[in-house]
Amino acid sequence: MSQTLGTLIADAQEAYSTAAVTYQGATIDQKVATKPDLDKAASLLQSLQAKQLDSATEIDDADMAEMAKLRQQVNDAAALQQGLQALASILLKFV
Amino acid sequence: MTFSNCTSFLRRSVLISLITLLAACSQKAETLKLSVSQFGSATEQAFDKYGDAYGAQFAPFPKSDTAKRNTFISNIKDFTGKVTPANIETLLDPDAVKIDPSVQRQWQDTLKGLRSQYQQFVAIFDNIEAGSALGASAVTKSGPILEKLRTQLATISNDFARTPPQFLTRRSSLIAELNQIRARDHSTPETESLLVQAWWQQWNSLIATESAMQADTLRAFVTASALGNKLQGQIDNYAKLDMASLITAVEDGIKLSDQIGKLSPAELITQGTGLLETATN
Repeated sequence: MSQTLGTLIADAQEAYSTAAVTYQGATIDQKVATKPDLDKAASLLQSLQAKQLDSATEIDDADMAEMAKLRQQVNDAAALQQGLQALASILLKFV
Repeated sequence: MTFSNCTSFLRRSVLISLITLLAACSQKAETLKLSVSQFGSATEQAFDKYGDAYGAQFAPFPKSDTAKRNTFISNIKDFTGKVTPANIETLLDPDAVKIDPSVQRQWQDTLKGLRSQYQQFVAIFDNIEAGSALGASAVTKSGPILEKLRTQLATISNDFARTPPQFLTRRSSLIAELNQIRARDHSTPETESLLVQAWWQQWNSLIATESAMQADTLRAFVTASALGNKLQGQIDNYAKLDMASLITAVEDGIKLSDQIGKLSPAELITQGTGLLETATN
């Protein structure tokens, strides 16, 4: 899919460039008339690029939840470990 | 030594060993955290450059306020239609590209979502030095997620290397300008030649800036991927690795970034397109 999108993006880049050159060389009347279409072509290109970026995503909601869980696990371990260390230091004074 | 003294000595030894062990684990975890931070900073930088590179594709050449005012005055003089709320922006600045807000939002949300995944991965290790002994299993469990994050980086690098963003608006402005030079009647052939030479310099400068932008972005992704690969090795073998190996890995990460910084644009494209193969193997 990424390869097909890549081809579409390359084609859209070329099409936009050709249209933009014509636009740049036009009179102000022509520019005003064709600007919405040129903006549409730019939006289409950006939309394809957004799709390509999105298609690279491998991480899903379950992974995000797992990362949050792991972070919590480390934080809980830190709290427990710090408690144990403090306890061990206190005990050391009495044994 | 009495029995009571002996028991006290044993208890004391156990407690001292426990405190020493926790301190050793903490140092090891802190060193791993350094590698995670290296990876986190590299991905942040890569996405910063990526966003800037795509943002620049529709950016026109910068114009002074005077130039903008003169363009507007000239446009109003030449425009034969009626000025409306729909066309006033084109009359004010015909070069400004207006991307559909929903597309713009889609792009920004995707980029923000990706950034947030890497930030969340780094956040797992925020407190790892304090929870080094009891939270060690979290390090191992983060391995498969890092694999996915690395594959993402490789795919993005590969796509970027194949169809990098270009300065589309600036390129088209210059091409239109060249067409105008060619269409105009010049008093002497030398005048036209001088204008073409000036144009050639502008074009070369634009292409050089564009190539540097593409190479910088790709370099940032190749660096992030290389640091991700190193980190994967450290995470997968965390239980077996000693302090010295982890410190070496951090130093290797710094050297790696330096080596990638010296790669030429052509070498970066080869590395960028080859990453996907490495990440998925």
